[in-house]
Amino acid sequence: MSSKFYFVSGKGGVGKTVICKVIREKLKAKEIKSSILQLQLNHIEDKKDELSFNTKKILTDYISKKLKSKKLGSWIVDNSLFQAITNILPGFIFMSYWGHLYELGIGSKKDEVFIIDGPASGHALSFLKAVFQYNNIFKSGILFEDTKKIIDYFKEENKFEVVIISNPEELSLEESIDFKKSLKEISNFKSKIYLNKLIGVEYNELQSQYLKKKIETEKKLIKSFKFTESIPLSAMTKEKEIINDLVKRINYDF
Amino acid sequence: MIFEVFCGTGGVGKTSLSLARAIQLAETLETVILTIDPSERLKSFIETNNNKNLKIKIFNPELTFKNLLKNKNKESNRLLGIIMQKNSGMNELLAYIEIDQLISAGPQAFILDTPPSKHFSDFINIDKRVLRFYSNQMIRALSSSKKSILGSIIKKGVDTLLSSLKKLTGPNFVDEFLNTVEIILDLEEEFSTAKEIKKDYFNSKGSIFYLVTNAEHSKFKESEEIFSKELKNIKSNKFVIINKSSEGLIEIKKTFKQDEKNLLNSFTEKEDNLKKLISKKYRDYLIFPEILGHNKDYVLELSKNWDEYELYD
Repeated sequence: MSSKFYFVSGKGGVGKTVICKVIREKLKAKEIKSSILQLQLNHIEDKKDELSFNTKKILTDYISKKLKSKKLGSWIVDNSLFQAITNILPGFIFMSYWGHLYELGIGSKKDEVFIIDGPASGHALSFLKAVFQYNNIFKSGILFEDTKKIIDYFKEENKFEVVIISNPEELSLEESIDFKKSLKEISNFKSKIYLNKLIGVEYNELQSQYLKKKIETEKKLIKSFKFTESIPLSAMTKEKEIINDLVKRINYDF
Repeated sequence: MIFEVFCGTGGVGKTSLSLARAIQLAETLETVILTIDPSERLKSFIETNNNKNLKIKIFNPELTFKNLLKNKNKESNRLLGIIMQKNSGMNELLAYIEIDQLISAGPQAFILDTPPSKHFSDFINIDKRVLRFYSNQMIRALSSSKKSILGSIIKKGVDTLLSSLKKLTGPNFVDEFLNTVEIILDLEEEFSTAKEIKKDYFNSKGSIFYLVTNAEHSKFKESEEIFSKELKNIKSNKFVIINKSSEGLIEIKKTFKQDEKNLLNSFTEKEDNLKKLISKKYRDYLIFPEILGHNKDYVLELSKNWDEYELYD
């Protein structure tokens, strides 16, 4: 099967991190190797005039590799002019993250699934768009070659899938649908919206007015948006318990 | 002028709550609300808003920038077009220009819905970033008009960097980039308004910053850390808001099945945990109920809840 990516996105608080872990457990059960990658795209560490550690490392590794010189790579990333550039052009950081993803899986033939715990939809879109934008802007150079390879990877069947997590609320779902549409506009990304934290999927004959009203809202949403993908709300309160609970209750084949 | 800022991660109901506040204030005051949050959820409200006292603005960085360039008689380029897009590098800076313009019109109340969490840091620290950019010797050295006064060390550094960049990104990009820097350097005065706004409004005793959260949202700790860290030296009042609260909405009867009781208890437990966390650092919080049901007018309903709080002496 070689490598595959799940890019998990959605508004803050919809449960992206938990779903990433659920996917990993699901894959583990099928004996498929997988890892979760935290994607934090904040560019500049606020107080110090420096890139945040993780970003700095990824950027340095990437540029060093591309220019075939560790010394030059470190010098560039430490350079205040370069930092000022990344400040106004986050695309550089994005590209270094893409380079990192490329090294990890896009360019390898290893059988492994990468689950990206991505940023919220707006920023996820900028991140995904960056590859195409810079492919268009650079037109030549080493980074341009990388953008080409990544775009080719996107075009392969079943390689890169965007998992959009949404709360069962109208605004959240509308945003997810917009996000899905925008993904189609950038490229033909495969994406699926999952309605998370649903009560009505498994509970019925409830007596509480509070829950009844919540379920009523859910039903209307599912009906008006013609929804099928759903993830139940867990009655657990600790993350580990929620994950175990959901692994048992979700039937999607990841 | 009332100046209030809503902060918090995406999905907590920041935009709805800030809009509800604006609607409530607009009953008596000329109110402007600007949302910098990338989503365009406010659109439907704008279409139906017929309150002359209330001006709802969705931040559109590309438009703000276009107008800025027009006033300066400058042409944009492709790269600038990208930088000025939503969620790109210059967003926060352009937001201040928009705030400046809206405040200049002299509203009696101004409500700001800020970008989520981490981007809030970028947003609030914009003055430092502007300063860093414009005071950067090497950046200034890139500008053709200032090249002559360059020290040779700086020049050598710039040359090394540019030649590496050319290898990485191709020569066309570097040319376009230099042109972009030139244009941005020319906008120094405009972009410096950010500093003034921070001083005059953000750092004013009369202003209020709200940190919005809710029980379903597991990231209170993280967003509170950013909130208190970034606002440490800011004199404004700070309040935490628990939104979508189930307090008083849940009733558990003996006849309920066990799994229903468990589920209801989990809602209460999550909210209690949140309240405990908040109490560790804040004396009090504002609380807004979850508006249940499929209700188009829920923001209006929410705005009535604001009446319960008297935040100014």
